Amino acid sequence: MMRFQAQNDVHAALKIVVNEQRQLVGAALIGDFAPEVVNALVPVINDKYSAAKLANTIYAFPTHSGIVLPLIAKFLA
Amino acid sequence: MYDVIFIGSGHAAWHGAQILAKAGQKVALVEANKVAGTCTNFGCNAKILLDGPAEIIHHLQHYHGIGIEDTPAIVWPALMNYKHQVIDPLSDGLAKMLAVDGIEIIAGHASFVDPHTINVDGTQYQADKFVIATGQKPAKLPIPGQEFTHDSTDFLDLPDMPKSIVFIGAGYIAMEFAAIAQAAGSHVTLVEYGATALNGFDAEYGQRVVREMQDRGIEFVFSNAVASVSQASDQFVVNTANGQRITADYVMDSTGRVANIDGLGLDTIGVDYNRQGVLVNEFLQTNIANIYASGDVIDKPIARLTPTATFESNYVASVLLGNDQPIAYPAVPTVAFTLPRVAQIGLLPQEAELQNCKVYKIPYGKMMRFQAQNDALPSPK
Ligand SMILES: Cc1cc2nc3c(=O)[nH]c(=O)nc-3n(C[C@H](O)[C@H](O)[C@H](O)COP(=O)(O)OP(=O)(O)OC[C@H]3O[C@@H](n4cnc5c(N)ncnc54)[C@H](O)[C@@H]3O)c2cc1C
Repeated sequence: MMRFQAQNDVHAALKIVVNEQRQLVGAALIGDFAPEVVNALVPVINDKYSAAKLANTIYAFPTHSGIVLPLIAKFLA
Repeated sequence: MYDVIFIGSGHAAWHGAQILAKAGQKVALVEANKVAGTCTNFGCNAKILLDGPAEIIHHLQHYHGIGIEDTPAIVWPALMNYKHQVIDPLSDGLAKMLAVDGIEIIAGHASFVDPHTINVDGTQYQADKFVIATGQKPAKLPIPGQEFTHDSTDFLDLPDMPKSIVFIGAGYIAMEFAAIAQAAGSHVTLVEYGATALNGFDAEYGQRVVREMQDRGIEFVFSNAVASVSQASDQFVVNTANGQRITADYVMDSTGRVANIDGLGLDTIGVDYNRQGVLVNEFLQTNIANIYASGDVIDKPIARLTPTATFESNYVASVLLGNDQPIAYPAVPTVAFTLPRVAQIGLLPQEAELQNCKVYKIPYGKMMRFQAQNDALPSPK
């Protein structure tokens, strides 16, 4: 899905840490997208975003944060 | 007599000073070096400017074999010239902006005489409240030949890129500078006391950065304590306790940073501190009731960064204006501007299990259209 956007940075990856309530509580990122996308995760953690909150949000596409945020929705409550 | 004097003029100081001045208080900043502090003059800003071309080269290298072959060269003296053009005026610019708000800037080194009085190079100033915002400075390894080593401020001012550099330490500053130096044509070696680089970031990603840097020709010497640095004609030799000898044109001590509290008179007035910095309570107040502390100089559990210093500065101002709520930090994102970049926020993956949390790995760069659903199915580590 994202290969066209990742500018052939094939090793770009992230790990997300989800608590027992299935809220995002941490993330680690590697690759060119990391500095901007970590910022996009800040409100997801601070405001305890739900999957529905992300699913009901429209992000510009194709952009890194616009791809990662909907992608992590499925891991959240 | 001032309402509040901040000692230091970095992010830990000037944001709060502005709030207080706008609220009608009589505020001054004391600065021994350049107004605006480390981030603006000798840290983040200069670093990210010098990283710019290295980052672009890193991007271009992703296209080798699929459309772009050449790797351009960085003309370091021209880049450094541009750095001076952009960074050098920032300090005066901030000083002017603060003057407009009625904030006085006192040039010199502050030292407490009593809890309401400081001495700045022979002149005494009094204030109702003080905020210690003196930051940190590069640590110096206590080894023979330490006088041959340079610090981050020196590196960010290099008129020419040395042909070879040894960084002592492999924390984020050393790793970022190593990436810049390598992209600018230097042969780079990092000597690290521990077994890993980039502590504080995901361990696996830290190792991946090391591997990619090795692939580009950067050398790593792990689990080696540097015992001494010596001079050999016009080069320097870094000697480790295990007997390794690494010769280079330039040696940077990047072993860490320590609180800037020398000559501040903390012992004179009995402000508590330890090796990590000044001790504060949950209102950023020291054990001396009218003296607060903010920014890198504090002994604190969260990352010492510009945005955390700014957050504390704004918080201290709010306390001085009557806020009675303890400080509550939101999540703190942190980035190592290495090539490749790594970032971290909240719980580290390696800490997750202890907290009954699950880790999901998402191979973003490898995910292919239509396959994504499968790739991203929840799969706990
Ligand atoms: C190379 C480098 C790269 C960095 N990169 C980043 C980054 O990418 N992102 C990030 O968020 N952070 C980064 N940082 C960290 C960031 O610079 C600091 O967290 C931030 O500057 C802290 O602000 P501060 O106001 O607490 O301290 P400082 O900015 O250090 O300000 C303290 C000031 O107090 C002055 N002072 C000290 N003692 C006295 C005294 N007795 N009397 C008068 N004045 C005194 C000092 O001269 C100094 O100007 C970097 C730091 C370095 C060194």
